[in-house]
Amino acid sequence: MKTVTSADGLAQQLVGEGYRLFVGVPDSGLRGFIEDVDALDGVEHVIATWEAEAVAIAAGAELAGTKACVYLQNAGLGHAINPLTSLCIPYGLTPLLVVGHRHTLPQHEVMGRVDAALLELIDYPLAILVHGPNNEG
Amino acid sequence: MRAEPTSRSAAIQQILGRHGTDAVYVASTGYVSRAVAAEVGPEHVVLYMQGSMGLAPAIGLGIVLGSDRTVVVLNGDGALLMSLGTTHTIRDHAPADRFFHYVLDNGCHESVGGQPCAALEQSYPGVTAILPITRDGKPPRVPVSPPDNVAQVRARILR
Repeated sequence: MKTVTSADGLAQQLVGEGYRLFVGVPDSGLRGFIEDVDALDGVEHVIATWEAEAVAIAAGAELAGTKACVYLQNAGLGHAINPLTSLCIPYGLTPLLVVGHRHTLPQHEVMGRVDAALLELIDYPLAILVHGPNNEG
Repeated sequence: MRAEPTSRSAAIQQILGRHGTDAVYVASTGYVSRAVAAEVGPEHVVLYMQGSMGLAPAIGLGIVLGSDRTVVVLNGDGALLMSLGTTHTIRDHAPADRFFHYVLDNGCHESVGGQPCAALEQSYPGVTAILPITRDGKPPRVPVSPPDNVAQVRARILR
């Protein structure tokens, strides 16, 4: 797992690494990243209804040989844990997660403390945590 | 007017007959996967989604967006309701000529004891057809491990 302080240029970098399907649930901390994804040529971009759906769509694309990236706010990790543990890991279909980190508001405090540890606990191999200026309340 | 229920195996055979052996099938968790495994021949390719209840249609959508194959999802009624929003993602993103989503409707969570689930509406966006079925009991286990299953499906998609 990697932690970065900005997602500037990340979408373009991921295309360079071969990612062709981007699917996620929007997060204000990832707004710039999502705008960059929308501006990309030759990639599929799906905004899912919830994070579990996004993970499953990405796993299906990986199964079909298309590299896939899931973006979500760390609050959505709760929704994503089931498909990460019962689909992605046992089936060997592990899309990249780009996770917007939040921790200041009361509803984000607990997940803000444990997001990285949670991904390490389930031994998920491929994730980027984006710490940005989205934690000022 | 809802059709009279058929047997589960008759409903699955109807779907397999309609879409043949070129499609990639995705079967939902629990008895749906087991029942499909009991009906298919060696020429059918099926991803058995044995965990992640509710997400078989989303996996199918990912496969269809990431490939040029036809994808057929066999879902259950409880699983449909669990991620009902996915029907709208399918409506907006799935190519209608090669994505098909069937719901086997037995009115209950048969795999875990037959507890009732909420009754379905007559139709949904992103759902090809709802097939009422009877409660036909526990089929044998799916005879393939997840990694081997992934390898089989990948070989069909990439051939």
